[in-house]
Amino acid sequence: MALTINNLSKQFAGFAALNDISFSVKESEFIALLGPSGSGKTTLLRMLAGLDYPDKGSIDFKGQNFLSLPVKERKIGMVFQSYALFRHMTVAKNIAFGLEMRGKNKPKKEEINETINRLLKLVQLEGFEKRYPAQLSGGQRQRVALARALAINPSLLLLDEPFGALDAMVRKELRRWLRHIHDETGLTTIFVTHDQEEALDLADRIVLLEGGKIAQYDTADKIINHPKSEFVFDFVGSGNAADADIKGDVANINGCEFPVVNLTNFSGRQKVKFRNYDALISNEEKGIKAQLTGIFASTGFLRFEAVDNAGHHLEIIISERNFDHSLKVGDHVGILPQKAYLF
Amino acid sequence: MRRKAAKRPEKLTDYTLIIFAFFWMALIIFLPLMSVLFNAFKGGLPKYLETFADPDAMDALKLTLLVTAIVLPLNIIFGIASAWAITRFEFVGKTILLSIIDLPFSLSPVISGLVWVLMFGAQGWFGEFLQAHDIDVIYALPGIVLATLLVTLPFVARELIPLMDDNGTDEEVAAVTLGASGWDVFFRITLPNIKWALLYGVLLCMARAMGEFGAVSVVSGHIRGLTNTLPLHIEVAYNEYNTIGAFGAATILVGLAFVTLAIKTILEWRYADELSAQHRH
Repeated sequence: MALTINNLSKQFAGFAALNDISFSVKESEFIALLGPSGSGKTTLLRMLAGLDYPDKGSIDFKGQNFLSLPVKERKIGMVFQSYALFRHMTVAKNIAFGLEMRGKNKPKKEEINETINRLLKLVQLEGFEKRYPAQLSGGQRQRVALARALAINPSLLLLDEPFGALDAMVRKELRRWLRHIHDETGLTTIFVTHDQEEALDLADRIVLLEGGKIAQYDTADKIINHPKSEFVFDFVGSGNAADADIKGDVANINGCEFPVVNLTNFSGRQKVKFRNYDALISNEEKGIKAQLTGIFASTGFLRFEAVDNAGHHLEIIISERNFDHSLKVGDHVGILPQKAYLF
Repeated sequence: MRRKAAKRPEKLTDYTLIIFAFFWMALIIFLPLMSVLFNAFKGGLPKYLETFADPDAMDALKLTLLVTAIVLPLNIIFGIASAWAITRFEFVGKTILLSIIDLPFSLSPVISGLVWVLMFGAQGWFGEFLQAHDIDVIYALPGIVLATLLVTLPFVARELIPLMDDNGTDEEVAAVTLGASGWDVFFRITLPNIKWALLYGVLLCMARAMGEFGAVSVVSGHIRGLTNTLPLHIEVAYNEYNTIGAFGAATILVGLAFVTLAIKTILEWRYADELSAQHRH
């Protein structure tokens, strides 16, 4: 394990920002710290960087006790949401800053120039050396920020909501590109995000935080298909709730039978949850009786809104290919979950 | 976003307004300042130059420069330190500190002088103690420095606080993660980002320190050649019907004001340029 975090806790004015956090990261792994605001993800990242300290616990990085090392000795590359580029320095000076700070071990001028050129090539900004941050777009600034972080040859790359200030298109593009750079450099990388799509798309494993605790630490596939709690289920995607009769690992709603994925010891009438894409809509008198209140077209799928007899709102997504064109708003339908979760 | 640019004047009322603005400036600022020059040179150049041979005037100028030289570095240190504290930390009493920094702006200069007399004067809180130890504060250099300090206290801090607040701490934190020490962060990141605002504040502070009359008048005692600053000297000379001496000395202050204004204008031009570059996206 490259990075091992044990029992990390931190109190802020009476509330627990971090509560007994333990997990470990493998060499070259790409980890996302995901969670709603206030879940402690940024606090955790700041502790890894040495900008904040826990009340309890330990951080071990490749055999070093990280908490005993000041920021400058941790050799971390950090990228901020606001880019935090030095506005009075050119792109080249920004990238060289970490090397200039080495004092006696400062590399020779040619070496620094070589590093600048190599990194500008890596972040696809050749020819931008003499520009100032104000003359760059948001996406370009973030790429300079990454180049600057990589210049010190860090052993750990930390990114705090790196794409948070960018628009959707640039965001998606930079996301793939960051993954590409990670795969090329093999650098152990930890990034903070509140965007579950970003985390699921990008990371090898995801630390999903809830109120300062780890709700689940898993791969994207496990988090999506085997959520450990209702919070995890709700946070990573949309879902619906319904009452069902449980027998073993099979649930039954009004003649519609479907499996419960996470085996439990529950039986009798229970609230189950199912994903909006894990259901069908039928004209039969089966499943959840509901009335369609809206049909919305999107690229590749249709989104249905419905209200069941008890007044609960439901949302179902059906691929355009499987769409039954006879359905209209106002129709009384049966919603048939295909699989469900019970927490 | 760009604001709509001003348009060229079209109607008669537009021109009237512009002419009125010029006329008003000429009447209230330009003409009186010209009268200073006129009066100073009334007796011809040689008479004017005699002002600079007057030992009292020269002592006053020296004292003014000395006070400014003491007050300026103190204000720079206090200004940077307090701006740093206010913009970099969250603490109890921050709003109080912010309001107190502004207080000298709204305080009458007479009060700014009088408070020191109440503290260090013969009848003041520490009066007996100071007398017993033969320390002169009031009617001496320390009193003048203290009064000037109080009057000029907000200038540097007030320029720095909004800018440092706006800049935030991200760049400084980034520098730390890249291995910069505290000094490196200050001299390579913080200072370059605030240098124009700092210089601007220093200039305003300097102009005020040299020109302050009211507060200094209360604590100085008007001892010729000893505790008369340039503004006080001007008043004394004028009251003694030494018009040429008074206006001659006044040209020095007016000259200082113009130099300050010139540097300030150049700075504003540079500084505005840099500011707009910082906010361009």
